[in-house]
Amino acid sequence: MLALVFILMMPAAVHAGWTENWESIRQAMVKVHSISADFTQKKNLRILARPLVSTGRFYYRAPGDLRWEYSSPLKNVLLVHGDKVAMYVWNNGSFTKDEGPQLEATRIVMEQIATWLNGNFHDNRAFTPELKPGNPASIVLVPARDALAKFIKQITLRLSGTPGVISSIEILEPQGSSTVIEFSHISLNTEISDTTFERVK
Amino acid sequence: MKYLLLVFLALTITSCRTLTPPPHTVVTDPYLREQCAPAGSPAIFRAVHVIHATIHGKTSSFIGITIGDVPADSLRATLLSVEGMVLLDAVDVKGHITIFQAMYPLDSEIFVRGLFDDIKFMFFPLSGDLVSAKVNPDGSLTCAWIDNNREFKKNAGPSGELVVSEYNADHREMRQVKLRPPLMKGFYKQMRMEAYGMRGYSLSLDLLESEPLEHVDGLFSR
Repeated sequence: MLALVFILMMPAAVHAGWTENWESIRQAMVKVHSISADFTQKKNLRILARPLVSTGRFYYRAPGDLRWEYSSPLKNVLLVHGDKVAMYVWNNGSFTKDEGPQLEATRIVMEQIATWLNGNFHDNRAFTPELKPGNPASIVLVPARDALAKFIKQITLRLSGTPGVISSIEILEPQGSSTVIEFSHISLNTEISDTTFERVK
Repeated sequence: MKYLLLVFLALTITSCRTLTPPPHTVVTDPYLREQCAPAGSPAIFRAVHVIHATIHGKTSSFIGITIGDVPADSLRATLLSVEGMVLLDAVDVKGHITIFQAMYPLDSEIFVRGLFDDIKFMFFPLSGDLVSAKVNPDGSLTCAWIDNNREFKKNAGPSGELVVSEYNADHREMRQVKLRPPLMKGFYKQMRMEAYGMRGYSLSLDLLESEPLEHVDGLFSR
């Protein structure tokens, strides 16, 4: 899920018209070598009186290194470096490895969306993509398989008014639940060290 | 994934034993009955916790949302992954379980039934016959109940910490939960549960938010 979210929010490029068609999006994405950003995640469930808000920061370095780090309400770090995927959670004053089912799900999603790294959404068989023009333009992804549709109804990427930036991601789930992730303080193509993706601290 | 299955199977085990009810007398002293009376969560409530589940030294972490209606003996439990994915959503209405949504290996009714049993152990007030009660020299209070062939003991320390234990017919401790103040809208800030035995496990719950509810209209339906 995290990897999916991450890949989909990659700012594509900073030139006008980058959302005009799939090819312009693909060309913009391959120019992104690294990215980091703060995020605010709001989980909406019908049984909650108010959204459950999580915050953190993520780092990406091409071709596939990722650090997705929550700072609140639970300190949690997902590291993807090469073919290694690990998740750590803050518990009793230190980070410990998390063996939860979400790690397996993340690993599967990583495999599924690897083709999106080059910005070609049509190479992925798990989702059917649709590019919707507008202000802002958006990319809508609908699961192509029933197994995935049990957990994700639709993903919408809203493109920022600033060229090359996706401002938010909305993940709709069955039963009316949703997750909205908004990004801020985005840095593009800056140097990110190996340790960011290798070590939890 | 095999490890996860083990975790969730283990979570279901401890509540499955049945016991021969021992003969007992009921405490009638009004003062002791009042002192032993359950305090804590409201009758109808919603609570959100960060949960760490540990077995054999390995830990999984979740966010748990609990809707409880004590008078109606009903619960709704939703487990989210840290990133917000719904891993389990189920209700228990008077022991009748309905699973709305579940991701393997949490989709077993046996696991879900064990989960609800743990939740009731931690959140619902103890009921049954109060069979012993005493004030200890250090000022703490020890109370014991027998309910539905199970024996429970509660120790309320002077600092406000509660320890509740469940015993089997051999008086062997099966589960224990420690509830640590401060109280937030009737909920303890921290809860630590240990289930003993070969397939023992521990649950650590840290309260994020809680609130009493006036009603549960619609909250136990999909």
